[in-house]
Amino acid sequence: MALDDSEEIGDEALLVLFAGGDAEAAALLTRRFTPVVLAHAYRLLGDRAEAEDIAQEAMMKLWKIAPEWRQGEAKVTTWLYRVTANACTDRFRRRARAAPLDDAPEPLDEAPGAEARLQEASRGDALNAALAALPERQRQAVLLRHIEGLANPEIAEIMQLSIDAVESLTARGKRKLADILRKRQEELGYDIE
Amino acid sequence: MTSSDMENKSGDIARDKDDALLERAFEAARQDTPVPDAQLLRRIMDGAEEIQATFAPAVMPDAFAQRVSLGALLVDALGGFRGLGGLAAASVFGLWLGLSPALGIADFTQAILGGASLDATSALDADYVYLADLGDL
Repeated sequence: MALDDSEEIGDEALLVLFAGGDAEAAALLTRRFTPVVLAHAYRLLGDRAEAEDIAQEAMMKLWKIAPEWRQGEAKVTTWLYRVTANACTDRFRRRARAAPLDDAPEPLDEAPGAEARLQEASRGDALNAALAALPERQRQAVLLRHIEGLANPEIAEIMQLSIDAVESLTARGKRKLADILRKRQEELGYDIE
Repeated sequence: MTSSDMENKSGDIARDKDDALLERAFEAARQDTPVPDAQLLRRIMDGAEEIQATFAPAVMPDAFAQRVSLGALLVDALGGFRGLGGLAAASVFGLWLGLSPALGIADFTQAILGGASLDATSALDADYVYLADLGDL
């Protein structure tokens, strides 16, 4: 089946075609969603190789769920963001088990070695390093709101929180991020007057 | 301007600076979006083909299971196998009723059409005599 005007075909329609065995739908879904899940995983984890593994894992889950996808219940991207974030959380837990931080108050929330990484970070990845210093849920909320550009109701659906909780997480995350960046402002060459 | 106003103003300036700082950082992060390479896309497509290959054979058993479950649903709706037995017995009785000669109808027809046999009328006459004897009529 030739899928002309592929941009016009909705995500759910492509999933139906995929479940029917359409190889072109598989290619279109891969091209449409792999960049989204890869970028989100990369920003959450700060590691390209791990982000690629997560992207592959998330897309595999999408392929498997395609025949049972319930039309109109959730956006495919919302579902993918949630699957990606959950897979990243599993990675954080594995990292935490591999390098336990005895003195950290929230060992699952804080990325290990964040401060040390921040010292060596170049301007290009300064924000990633600063984000890594945020608790996991704050980091995810800030990323979804200010980098992916999603609206609070969709973020609430992805994170399975109330909109108020999302707003609170985002505000606290931004304050902490601003504190970190302010300290490195001169070093990073940000001249904000 | 009071000291409180001055504090508010300096707070606003600090917030504006923070917002500008964050916006520059967010913009830098948006520019630093990783692009999936061909190898990753190939791996994901291989996974898609692998999963799609499992869909076709899975269709037949699913459809069969659906038919089976629809049949089971119908049996349940009729009260299970005991209910089905009752329904079968009732059906056989109904069939017998339909096929057997209508005895009462024959007498009635004969009475209406004035046939030779007037047993029913005679019976009514007998009743009439009996009731007259009792003084009811």
